[in-house]
Amino acid sequence: MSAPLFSIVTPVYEPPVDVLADTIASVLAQDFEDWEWILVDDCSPSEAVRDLIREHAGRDPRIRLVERETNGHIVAASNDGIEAARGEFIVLLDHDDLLTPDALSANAKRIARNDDVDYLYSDEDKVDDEGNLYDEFRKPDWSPERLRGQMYTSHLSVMRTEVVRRVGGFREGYDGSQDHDLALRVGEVARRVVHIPEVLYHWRAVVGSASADINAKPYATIAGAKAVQDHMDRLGLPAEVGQGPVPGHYRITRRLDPATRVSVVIPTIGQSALIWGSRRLMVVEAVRSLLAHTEHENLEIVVVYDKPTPRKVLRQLEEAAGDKLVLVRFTRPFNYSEKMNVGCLRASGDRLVFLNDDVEVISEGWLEQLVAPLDEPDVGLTGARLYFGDDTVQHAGHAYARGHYLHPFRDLPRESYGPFGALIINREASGVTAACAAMRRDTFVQIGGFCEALPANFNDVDLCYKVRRHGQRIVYVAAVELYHFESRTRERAVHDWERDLVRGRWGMPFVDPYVPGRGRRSPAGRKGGARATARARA
Amino acid sequence: MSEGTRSEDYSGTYYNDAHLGGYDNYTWDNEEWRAFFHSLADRVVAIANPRSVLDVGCARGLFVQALAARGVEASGIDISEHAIASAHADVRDRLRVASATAPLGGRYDLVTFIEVIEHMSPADAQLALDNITAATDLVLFSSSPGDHDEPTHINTRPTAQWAAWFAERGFFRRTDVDLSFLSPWAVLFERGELTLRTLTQRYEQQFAVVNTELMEKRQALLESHRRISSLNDQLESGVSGKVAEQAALVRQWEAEVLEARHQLLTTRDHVVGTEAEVARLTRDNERLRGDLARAKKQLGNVRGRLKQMRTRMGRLERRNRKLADEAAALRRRPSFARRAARKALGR
Repeated sequence: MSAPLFSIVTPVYEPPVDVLADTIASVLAQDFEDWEWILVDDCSPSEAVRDLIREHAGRDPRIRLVERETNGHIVAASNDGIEAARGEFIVLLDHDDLLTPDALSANAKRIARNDDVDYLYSDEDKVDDEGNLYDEFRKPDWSPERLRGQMYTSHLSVMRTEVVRRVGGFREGYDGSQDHDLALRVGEVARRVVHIPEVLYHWRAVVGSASADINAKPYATIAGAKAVQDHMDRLGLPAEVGQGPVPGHYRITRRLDPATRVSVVIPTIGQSALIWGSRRLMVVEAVRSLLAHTEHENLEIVVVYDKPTPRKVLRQLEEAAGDKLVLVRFTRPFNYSEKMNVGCLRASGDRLVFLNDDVEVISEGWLEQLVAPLDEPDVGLTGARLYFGDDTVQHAGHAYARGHYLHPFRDLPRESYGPFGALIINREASGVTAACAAMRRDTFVQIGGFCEALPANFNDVDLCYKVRRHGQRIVYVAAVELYHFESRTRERAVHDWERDLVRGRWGMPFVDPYVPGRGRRSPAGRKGGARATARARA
Repeated sequence: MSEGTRSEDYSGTYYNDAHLGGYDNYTWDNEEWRAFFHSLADRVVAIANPRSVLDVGCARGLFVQALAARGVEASGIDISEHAIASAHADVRDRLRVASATAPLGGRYDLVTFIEVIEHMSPADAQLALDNITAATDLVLFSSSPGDHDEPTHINTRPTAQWAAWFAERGFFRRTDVDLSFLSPWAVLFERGELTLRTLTQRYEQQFAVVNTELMEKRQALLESHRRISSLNDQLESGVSGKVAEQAALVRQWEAEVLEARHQLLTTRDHVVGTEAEVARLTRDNERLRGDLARAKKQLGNVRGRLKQMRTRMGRLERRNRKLADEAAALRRRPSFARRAARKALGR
């Protein structure tokens, strides 16, 4: 018998027999034949479990029961399964969950298409006792930064057996997050990671299991943070990993080398506005707040100001920023892109931070957290979490879908975690607003800066497309929070030619790779507007 | 009172270590020393034309040998036994070991006393002056007023001091003779009964020359100094002007570089955008070609079906016609019921 393509590995410990029977049925119902299934019984107290497996193994030679002599828990049991596996890929299936009939064939199709794929993951949902499906998790395409914030790849994970063995399989000491630890280690070395945007796995929400309530297993989140910390240490990325506001979500606090020179570039015309009942010079407050919330000293603030900017504003900027201030006078007609390009070319830093003048920084260490991820060479741009003055979300990453350029989480309350924690963890995004973003200088020059043919709208969208075209990731950084006092009532005049220019370069966007819309199988109707994909799941 | 030096102080080491300055190997065989002393002898003969000369402190007698070569009745004394013993054979007889602190014996037209007295203790020096002035009326004298790193220079004095001691013995400087080829401080002393007037006049003449030179040099120095300041000023103002000019130029260049970089940036954006557009158009093109191929295939299918339909329609039409004909034929022939009725009614 030649080695099968898939080795399904299932550690078994005392599942309800009818539940296990459902799981077995879901495997037997596969519309793909080339698999073996290794069920590792971890000394289940009831013989009925083993009897059921033996019965099926007797009927189907592809099914094998490995009986452990001692109870070794999930890690040991899973590793026994990996050891026994003969297939090219390991398929990780829990003893109470269900595969869709096309789960294996969908994976086989992708493997045939990419012979260098080392890791495949797909979408999932949950199944309750009644067999109802709910809580569909439509996942982003491969997002290494997001994997640090949460174990989002989860089920169904299919990994090349050789790679799993090379990285040492599951590790003791990470119980409850052993799958996250393995995914991080496989992700580090994988030549290619493929996301299958189809639900191939129904996760059974049995009370007390992790899928229903992660609080049931607090040790799991401690192990998870440790796994992520190990991962950062292995990659040599100086950071501290802590618990996020929800179990299973991790906060990554990076360290920025104090020697890194940072240039914050702010375009302004020196306007003042009424904020929370008092009048303020917007750019001055932006500069004051940005300086008050960072300890990074090697910093310059390049303010590109239009001719009508009042003298008073420049004087107050000098008072606020002292010798960190570089003033650049801009005398040509208004063009946001040109102003930013002029400012960035004048800047002396290795890292550029784009900042609007109508913001106020909220979070401590914002600059460090925004800039530090750029130390990873394949991160090309980072962005922030922005709120309106009324504490609702203005921006948490762009999404480009269904012909539109969207702020998908707009209008959620500030406290919201976002769908599947999207607001509270760092993650990859199709784009971020240039109202607050950071980029390496070399990237900026290589991609040609902001497109000056787009003086008002979509210049950041175009910039983001260029960054990704350049082969770099864009990372939304949850810990960088600012107010953005953009008027929410004002409808910015967007011209067709602006949209046409962006579409002309990059084509019509259909599905966002990082914020997939609901119901991919039933094409989303045209909902229009920026709020279409906002999913209030706070 | 400090001690004088002794014969042992002038062993081979003294000569070999080149304390005498100038050339190595202080012997008659050394061409350079020989040439030096021949030249000195020529000068001395030309100045004083002596018939007899005693060289006090003659060392290896090189000067004595050079004078003898010119027919001068020359001899020498030295306290260094090593020096006399190592003298050249041709001159050895003219030399003896003796000190100038003892009477010299005999009279000489000229006594040369070159770079010796500073090696003697002050008391010995006075004795030597006494003995020399007793033996001649003319003394060629030279004594370094400095050069204190030579260990045997134990009694250096300013030339004025030696001149005063000579004057005490009735010897005065010959101001008409310039011995600066020998050393800056060399003096030809001659016994003379000079009046104060003559002496004053001699020294005034010397003083006048020196004084005039000094004045002229001071003036020249002042002028040089002024010239340097004025050049300095010119240089500085020129430089600061140049610097300002260069700075303006640098600013201009900086602006140009910035402008060029800006152009490069926008050009790059244009290129990146165009590439993206080409890629997008290529994708669109591929998609449209796919659509076209599908549409063509569909068209083919539709045509085939159309043909089938036509064939079927032709068939149906023919059948239709046939049925219609049959129907018409039937209509022309009255029905069975009608025919029966007609028969029954007799019509």
